[in-house]
Parts: sequence; C-alpha cells; structure tokens
Amino acid sequence: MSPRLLTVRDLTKHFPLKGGLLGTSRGVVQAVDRVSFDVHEGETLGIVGESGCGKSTTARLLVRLIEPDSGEVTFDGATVGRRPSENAHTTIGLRELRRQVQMVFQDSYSSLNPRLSAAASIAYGPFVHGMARAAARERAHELLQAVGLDPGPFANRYPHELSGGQRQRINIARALALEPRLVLLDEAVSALDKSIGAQVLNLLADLKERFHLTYVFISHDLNVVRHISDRVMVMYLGKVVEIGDVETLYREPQHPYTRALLSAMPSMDPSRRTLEAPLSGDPPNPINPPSGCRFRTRCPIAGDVCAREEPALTAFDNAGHAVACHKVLLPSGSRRAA
Amino acid sequence: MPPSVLEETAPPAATAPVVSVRDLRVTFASRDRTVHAVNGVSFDLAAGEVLGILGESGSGKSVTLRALIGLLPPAQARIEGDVRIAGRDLTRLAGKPLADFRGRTIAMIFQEPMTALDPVYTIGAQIEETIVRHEGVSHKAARARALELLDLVQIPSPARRLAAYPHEMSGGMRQRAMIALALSCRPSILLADEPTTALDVTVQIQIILLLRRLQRDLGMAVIFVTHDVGVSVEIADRLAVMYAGRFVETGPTEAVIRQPRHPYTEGLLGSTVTTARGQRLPAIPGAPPDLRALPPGCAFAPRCRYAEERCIADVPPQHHVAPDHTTRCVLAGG
Amino acid sequence: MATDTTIALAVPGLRAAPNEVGQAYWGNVRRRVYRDKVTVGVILILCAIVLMSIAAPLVTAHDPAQGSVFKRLKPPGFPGHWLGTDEVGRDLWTRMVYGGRLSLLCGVVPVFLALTIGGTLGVVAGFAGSIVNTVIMRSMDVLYAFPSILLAIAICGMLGAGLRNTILALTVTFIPPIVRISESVTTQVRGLDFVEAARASGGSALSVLRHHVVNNVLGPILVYATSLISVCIILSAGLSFLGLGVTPPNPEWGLMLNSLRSALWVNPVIAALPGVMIFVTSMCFNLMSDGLRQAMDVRL
Repeated sequence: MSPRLLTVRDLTKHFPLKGGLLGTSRGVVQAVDRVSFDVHEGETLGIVGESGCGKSTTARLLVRLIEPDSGEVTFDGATVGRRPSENAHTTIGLRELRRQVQMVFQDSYSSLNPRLSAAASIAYGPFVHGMARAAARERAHELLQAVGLDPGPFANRYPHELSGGQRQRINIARALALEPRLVLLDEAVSALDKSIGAQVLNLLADLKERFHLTYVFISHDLNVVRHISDRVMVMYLGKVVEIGDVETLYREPQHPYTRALLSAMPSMDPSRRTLEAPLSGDPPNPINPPSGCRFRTRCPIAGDVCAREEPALTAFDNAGHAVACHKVLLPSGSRRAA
Repeated sequence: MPPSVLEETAPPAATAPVVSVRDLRVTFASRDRTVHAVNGVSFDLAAGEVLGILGESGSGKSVTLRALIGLLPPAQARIEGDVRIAGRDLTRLAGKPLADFRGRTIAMIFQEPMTALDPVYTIGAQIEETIVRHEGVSHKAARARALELLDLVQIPSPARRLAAYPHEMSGGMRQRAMIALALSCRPSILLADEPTTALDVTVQIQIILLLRRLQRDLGMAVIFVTHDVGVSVEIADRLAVMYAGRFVETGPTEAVIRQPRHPYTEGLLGSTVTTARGQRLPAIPGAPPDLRALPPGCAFAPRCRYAEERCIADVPPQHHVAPDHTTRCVLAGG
Repeated sequence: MATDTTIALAVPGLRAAPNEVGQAYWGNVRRRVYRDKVTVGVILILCAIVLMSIAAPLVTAHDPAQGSVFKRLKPPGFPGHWLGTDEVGRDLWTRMVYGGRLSLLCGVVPVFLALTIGGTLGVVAGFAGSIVNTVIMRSMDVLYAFPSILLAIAICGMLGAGLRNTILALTVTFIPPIVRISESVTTQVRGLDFVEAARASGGSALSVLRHHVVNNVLGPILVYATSLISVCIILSAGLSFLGLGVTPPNPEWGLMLNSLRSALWVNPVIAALPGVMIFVTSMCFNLMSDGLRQAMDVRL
C-alpha cells in the first residue's frame, strides 16, 4: 500500500449548546468523537453517512476551518499544529497545510464570491501565497482550461452567469490552484443534476490522474461513492463504524448499520422492489447519544454488552477492513465479545 | 414561439382516467423575458395508478404538478391546454370552488415539509382544521380522525404528536405528518413533488414504502415527481421522462428502464451510477436548454449523439413504439 | 473529454450562441438604475439642487444678509423678489439657495463621516467576533438607548451651537445605527461558504476581509447610509429650528423655518417654503436610496 498521506487519531469536536437564561450550556452536540483513519497517497477515500454523522464536520476539521477539541492529525509525516507528536518529528503550520489540503464545497453558488469573476476567484489562492497578480491570473487561465472551460469566454464571467456544473468546475479549479496534494470533496456533486454530476465525476477522475491527487470524497449518495472510491469509511453519530476496501464493503458489509444503509438504497430493478425498510425511525440527534454503542437503539442484533461498552474499531482482516461492533463475526469464527 | 405540433397522442387508458391532460402549456411572463416551462404535455392517469415523472431541474416537472392543482401564480403564469381532474377542468376554477376541490379530490405533498406545515400551529390543529373545513364534522370527530391518520402514517405515539409543533419533530416525522395532512380528506388523487429528496436514504425508503402501502390501501391515483431513477423505480407503475417541458418517453416502468427508447432516457440511466467502478461514466455532454429560448425541433438534439437533420426540423411528436410505450424520438422505430 | 463549450455534434450549426462578456456587479447596478425612471429623475433633481447651492452667486441677485425694513414679508411675485422676502426683508430665493449649502452640508457630511467611522467599526466587529464584537456592539448599545433627536440635542446642548458642533453631534448620532447594520451584514457574509473557502486557501484575515468581505457588504451599507441622509437633513433642520444648530444670520432651511414661524398667519406661503425645500430634498434622497436598493437587490 502506498504511504500514508494523512493520519487522523482520535479527532474530537463537541459543540456546546447554549441556552437557558444566562447562556449556560444546555447540552453538547458530539459531532465528531474520537475518529481515527488514514488516507493513503493516491487513493480516494469515500466517507458516507446520514445527517448528523459528522462527515462534514470531519472535513472542516481536517482543513482546520474548525479547531478540534482534541486529537491529532498528521500530514505527510508532520503533525498539524505547534507541537509534534510522538510519531512525527516535525510540525506543519496552518498556512502550509492550506496549501497542501484543499476543499470543494457542496453549494457551488455560495462557494463563489458573487463580486469576483471566475478567474479572480481562482487566482486568489496563489495571490495570497505570494504569486504576482499577473502570474496568478495566468495560472487561473491554465486551470480553467484544465477543468474544461475555455478561458476566453469564461474567465471574466460572474457566478450568476454560470450554470451549476460550470460553477462547480470553477470551485475545483480554485481548489487546484495551490497545487494541493489532498483534495476534500464535501458533497461536491450532490447539488448537481445527475447528468451534470456525471460529467464532473469524469473530470475529477481525469484531474486526479493528471495532477497526482489524493481525494477524500464525502457524500450521502452510495452509488457515487462506490464508483469513485478505493476505500470507504462509514460514519454514524460522530463515530467510524466501518472502514475498508470499497468492493468488499459493498458486497459483504459487516456492521449492521452499513448493511442497513446499503439495503436502504432504492432498487434499480423494477421486478425486485424493496419490500421492507431496513431501519425504522430517523437518524438520532448527536446531542446526548446512547451509551455504549451509539447504534444500539436501532440495531437488530444489539445485546447487553452494546449498552455497556463502546465498541472499538477493530481490524477484521489483513486487508485494512475494520469494524466497530461487538457482535461481528471474525473470520476465525469467534465473536469479538459475548 | 412554440413550434408547430404535428400530432399529440396520449396512451390509451383502460378505464375512464381520473386525470386527463391534453397539450398542457405553461409560460411564465415577466418584464424582460418569457419562460416556456411546460411545452405540450399530454397524459392520462387511471384510478389507483402511480405515474412517476422523472426529470432533472428545469424539466418542468414541478410546474406541471402545480398546474394540475392550481398552485401557479395567476399573474405570471399562463396555462393553456385541457386539464381534467375527475371530469372537472381545474384551470377554469378559482376561489372557493377551487379550494373545495383541493383537499377533497386532489392533494399534494412537497419536498420540504416545513413549507407545507404552519410552524405556529400543532400538527393536530392543522389536520383538524382541514377535516372540519372539508367535511364539516365536529372538532371532536375531526380530532379522532386526526389520531387515526397519524397512526396510519406510522408515527409512533400519535396521541402525543397531535400536540407537537412541526419544529419539534424530525425530518422523517414531519414528512409523515405532511402526508397525514394531505390524506385527511380522503383525496382520490395525490400529487407528490419530490417528497423524499431531502431525506436520508434510510428514511427515504421508509416513506416510499409508506406511500406505496397507502396508495394501495386507499386506492389513490398518484403522480410522483422525482429526479432519482431508483426512487421512481420503487414507486411508479408507469414512468414519464421529462425534458425541457415535454414528456420525451412514457411507458410502464419496467419497459422504460430496461429498454429506453429515447436517447435522453438512455443518457439519464447511464449517468445514474450503479456499476463500472473506475470506468468513465457515459455522461450526457452539455447542459439543459434555456427555457427562455428553446431550440427549434427536438430540445435534446444539441446534446444527442444520434442527432440528425430531421431532429431539428420540427418538434418530434409522441408516437407509440408499443401499445403503452411512447417516445418523442423520430429515430426510434415505431 | 466532452466539456460545456466543446460539444461533438452530429449536426453542424447547432452550437450555442457566442458568450457575452461578464457583467460585473456594479456595472449591472448602474444599468438597472438607468432603467429606473423615478430614480434617475430624483438624482437629476438632487444634482440641480446641489449645483445651484454651489453656484449660488450665479443664480441669485441679492445678498442673503441684506435686509430691508420696507420690504418685509412680501409675497411671491413681488417685483425683484420672485419668491418674496422674509421677516427682515431679505430675498427669500437667495436665502433658500444659500441655505441649501448649509443644509446639504449638515445633511451629507455627518452621514459620510458616520459611514467611514461606523462602517469600519461595524465591519471589524462583525468579522472579528467574540470579545471585540461584544465590546464594540455594547458600546454602541449605550448610545443607541437614546432617541436620535434627543442625543443630537444633548450633544449640541453640551458643546454649544454652531456648524461644527452640529456636524459633530449628528455624526455621533448616526454612528450606532451604521455600526449595527455593518456588523449584521458582515456577520452574514462571514458565514458564507466563499469566505470559508478563501480562508481555506490560506488567506490572512486582512486579505479575506479586503478581497471578499468588503466588496459584498459595501452595497447594503451604502444603501442604508443614503437613506440616513434624508433623516439627517431633517435632524439638522430640527436642531437649527431649536436654536442649537446653525446660528443666525446664516441661512439654513431649519433656521428659516423658525424665524418665519411668526409669518405663518401673515403670509403662510413664505413660512412654508423652507419646509417644502426640506421635504423635497429629504424625499429625493429617500427615493434615491430606495432605487439604489432595488437596483442592488439582484438575486443573481
């Protein structure tokens, strides 16, 4: 396996809920709780989950748009932050991190400054990192070409004059302007029509190859994630419940939530419609999650141990597949816990 | 200026259709431009049948629904064509007769339940108000019926939820409450405008199954609008694929999915990612047309890889490739 | 690779129309304003008033301070004084035109100063958040607690009458509302995705502020400020009316209203004229601000 570009250990972010008379804390939204995973160079890691699972918060924590409460992130062997951890010998500052890790957001319209032209938006990044204005503009034109937009007509257009797909291409160009190594795509095609989204997915695949990028692809659309990812991570209520190679995970999901999620996808075969919903109720609120395993309240196979102990993410095989469930059957035939 | 239409046929219905639309056209006129949202839609809907309208943004699917129930702003929208719901022409109704008709005969559920539910009234109060208004029963009877309805849509602890406000409920719960509200007066036709689009996938399948069951048990005719192919497969008996304000293909769900007879349907199914990891998706190039200035002839021709001269000559008429399967592609055999 | 602009087509000649040059936001706003007849008309009227005030000696024939005991309170149409004379015999038209200078000055300058000071404070408060925000906003709340006219009167009363003190008092009066609106708009813009994206690109706070925030908040703040001009004109006239603003014998519309009060029963037309001027000017600014707001309100 290729070297690890990004390692995340025990990343945690809790948002206090303010309420009451004097603004005292009314509860805590445990948005992301001790999340750990790796991203290998050159791969695409898909992150899936429903609302409240914490995938978007995780992305924002990785680019430090939000400061984590605890946990450690290492990029290319250097700890993000001021003090190096035991595993890394150096640190990487925020500014440098932002050059290497970029993000593409979901809403293509609000991600672009309505007062700046496409080229100006793209050129902003290089410009603040020291490039001269003219050179930055030149780079913007190159990138417009790379994302399939002819610089001639498109460089001076404003966001309101562009379609959703075109805007998203500009967002991608903007993310690439700093020559990052890792690109986080937070629901990047979710707001686009399927046919336009397909174009953008093809573009992303081309760009990944051309610029040797690594992707973290966050989406609620399981089909898209399956198509584009090499490995997939499933999140539920702020925790990682399963992670592994995409085909293995989709064909033989181990965690009960992953199974439910995959079987909840609408069938594409009119003669084999879904007959029963795999899960009932809505995804719960990340405020005051259940004790022990957070999924136990909706889990078909939950037992006593699930309420007592929080399951740790444990390796399921040697190929990097890991599950966080007490009841999962290991290949050796024994259960992890009674 | 809509191009000339050579022939408009709608698929024949077995019994008297409960919804009958002929050549529906909707244009929105504002100060500087005119948008041709719907350009000649014709179909029949039989009682107890589920028609799925599949289309992307800008296809005119939501406008079609709203034209059927009379929810388009009268000042800006101009509706032409013949729309008959249970024998009555809804486009000619207004005011009280229209309000009477709505809810009793035809009801609608929306994508965003917060826009359908009034945030300052409890769920129970809203359902009761509808029932009292339409059926003229006492509040007590209406309340009992509201309780029944919440139970019908599988809301847990319905008695407690009657007193709940919309913001106190989760997304899936709100959607169920909205369905209960829509069904409160036993309509025979239900219009659904992307009701599951904003929901998580595990909640989406619950709502789809609920709607399917309710439709079967209550014998309602349903028109279900969506952009998600999978969702339409799960719920629709018949599919109508919509593009630039026209139905480009209609037919039984199985036929349309397995053997699409229009290049756009083909492209749409191909873009819906299901398999082929690591390979390029067969994406449709270009973008949907500007509804202010529709191209002459087939609206899909600029993006179609089979396009020929005769495609842009005239708007292709709907013609049958099978007794219940129509398409607007001149290149599809008939 | 198929793209939006290069589409392989089976039928030649079916390409999309050539693309127009990008329409920048302010250019767009300008075009929309030109199309709005009411706003254009109002702007022309204001220009006329301003030009006449500046070029006062050219459009008037008399000395604004020169009175005549014999020609007091003459009605409009009196030979030599087409708008009549005031209670001391000074030509009313001359005093109105010269009065425009002071009235407009007192109306525009305080708002301009408040915009500079208050706008900066508000944007900083909105962008910085937390403690800086709290300190600035709560300080403004203290001033906001006073109704604007009372605040202006209090400050003028403390400092004394006169042009400079009037401008100072009005500036201080208008700083809190401008701070409030700037902070509110800035907070909104700060939460938008593109600002986050700019930060994620590595922009420093100052850079993000300059390139992304300011050009988006300027519009609404400007519109609000122009709507304050009309209020300011009335306030300054009010202050002068009460004797706290511009001092006699300087011509100023509010002052004239006061001194012509006694003429209300003798010659109501003359007594009302300065009031009409105040009304017209104030209304024009108001309409202009409305038109500007509508032109900017392009949900593009």
